[in-house]
Amino acid sequence: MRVLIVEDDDALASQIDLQLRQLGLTPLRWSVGRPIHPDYPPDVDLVVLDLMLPEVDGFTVLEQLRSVSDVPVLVLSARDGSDDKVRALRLGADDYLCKPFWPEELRERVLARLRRPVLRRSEVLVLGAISIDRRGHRVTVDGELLSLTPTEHAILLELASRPGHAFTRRALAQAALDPDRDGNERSLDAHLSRLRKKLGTGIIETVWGVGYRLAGPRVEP
Amino acid sequence: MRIRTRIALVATIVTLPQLLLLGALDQNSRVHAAEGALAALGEQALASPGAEEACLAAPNRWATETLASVGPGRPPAHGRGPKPPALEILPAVDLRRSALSSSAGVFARVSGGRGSDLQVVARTGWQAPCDAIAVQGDTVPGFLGSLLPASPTWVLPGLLVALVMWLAVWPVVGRVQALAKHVKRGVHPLPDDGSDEIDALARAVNDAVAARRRTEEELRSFVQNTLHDVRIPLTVLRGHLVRLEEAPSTSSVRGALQEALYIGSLLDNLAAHARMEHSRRDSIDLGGIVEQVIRRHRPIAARVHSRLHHGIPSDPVHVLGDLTLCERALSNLVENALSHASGGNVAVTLDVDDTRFILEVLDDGPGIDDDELEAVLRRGYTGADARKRGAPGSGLGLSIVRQIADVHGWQLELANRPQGGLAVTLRGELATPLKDPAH
Repeated sequence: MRVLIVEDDDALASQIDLQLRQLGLTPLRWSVGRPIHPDYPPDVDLVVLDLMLPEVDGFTVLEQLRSVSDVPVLVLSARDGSDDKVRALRLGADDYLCKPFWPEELRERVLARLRRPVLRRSEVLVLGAISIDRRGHRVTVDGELLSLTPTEHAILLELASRPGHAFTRRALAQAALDPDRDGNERSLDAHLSRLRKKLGTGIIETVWGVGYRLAGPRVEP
Repeated sequence: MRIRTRIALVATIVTLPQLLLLGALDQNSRVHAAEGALAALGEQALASPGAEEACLAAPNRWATETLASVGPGRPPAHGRGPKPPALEILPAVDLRRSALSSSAGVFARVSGGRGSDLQVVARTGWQAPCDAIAVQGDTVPGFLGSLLPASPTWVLPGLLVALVMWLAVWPVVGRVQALAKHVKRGVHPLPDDGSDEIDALARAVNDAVAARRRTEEELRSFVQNTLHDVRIPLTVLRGHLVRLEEAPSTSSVRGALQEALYIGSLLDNLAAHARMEHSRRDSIDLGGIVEQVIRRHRPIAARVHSRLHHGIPSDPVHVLGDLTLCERALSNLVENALSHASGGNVAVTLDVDDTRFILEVLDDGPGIDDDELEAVLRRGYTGADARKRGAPGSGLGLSIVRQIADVHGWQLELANRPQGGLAVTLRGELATPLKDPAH
């Protein structure tokens, strides 16, 4: 995958170049801002764009790029003010990173922008022997329909709507519990305990301080 | 235009037309009074016995004798009052026919008399040359029909009022000019011991200057304290780097990285403090900010062997706030939690109800003594446990969080968790309520 680095500081650009190569990516470098030709946008998978550039400034490059391409853009800025960040986001930047930044932070941001969805947005989620049909609202274990209460069903479907993401207890209670019938946040743990018994271990994980998550490939920001 | 010039101009514009109007009214009144008097004389002349025959017999003698008998008498001793009216018999060619009424004995004024201010004429109904008579005289200021005195001294009170106004304004303008000079020279406080509006203005300026100076002093003090705080980790960093130069060591690298992180955090907090008064209000996604901060701190959490968790709603959570300050507030909370829960867990959760958000940062560290929960929000204060453990920190982060919460109108609470550790909660209004109460 190719990444365009638009950064006029040679030392910093070299560091970024090295970090991207360590990730197995192919960096290209521009040391100045250049106008983007509408018929020939850069053929890359990601752009790392500094805002303070000679010749054509970063905002102009971003604006021109966005008018012809949806390539993800990660903006670098030495100015910490909200004005630059807000302006960059409004012009279509996908993310921003303020200098100075840690190498790991750059790595994580780049990977986040390049990462393909691990889970396809399919209608049926399979976790070992468990199969959750999100559209048909059916849960089976080894093909056998699992008997769940309406509340347990609602909780499981809510967790399955974003596999790998942690849901807070309050959010789960708001989404899945009927206050008149099922109680509130305090009774959530009881419902989840019963649900976990039915599903078996390793399907629903507790996230410390947050709530619960459906097991599977973790989805990080 | 200067105030004095403006007042002089206004006084002139207001006073002059009034004086002219009074003069015109006075003139008009005198003319009418004289008209009436002259018409009355004419009527008396026409009504005197044998007037027609005497006029026809000897018109000029009749006019003179009649005037002597019905006229106003001698003129006043000092020349005041109208000139003695002249009673004339007008030859036909001199008749001001346009002024003559068709009815006999009805006197009408003729504009511009023959050599006098005023002339009234009337038909007599007699035969020519006595078919019309004219009575003429003049008006004199201060006499018949006057509204104003004869002497022009009546304008003096008006001029006096205008002068008094101008003199009254003079010292006021002078005081305002003196105030302006004080302000320009930086004299503070301005003299304000009176009770009029100028003193009120001086007090308002004094209060504004005092507030500005307090803010500047706070910022100066903050910068000095922060620079002082930076020197310590900078010194430690140098120590680590010197040791690295002598012999590579993972602990020195870790130590150097930690100090570099701390210095960066100090400078970020300094920048945040400087931004407080000029913060922006944009619609920002708190969920996005949580993800940004979590990403930034994962490497740091890994270094201190802590686990970092987070949970946010599926949909964006929009609030009105300053993006940089919000990131700084959450970063400070996470950094604080990571430094105290070393080797443990830190979680950031974001929840919403209809109109408000709840942002929490939890850790399973030692917590804070209950009687220190308020004090740790003050700049420079470090909790007792942190001091015992030598946890890094200048007591700056939480005070910045408090300032940022205040600037945004959010509520900040610190509480020890029943399970152990600290819970820091930020609550505030959403930019757009999730549900329309009408539906």
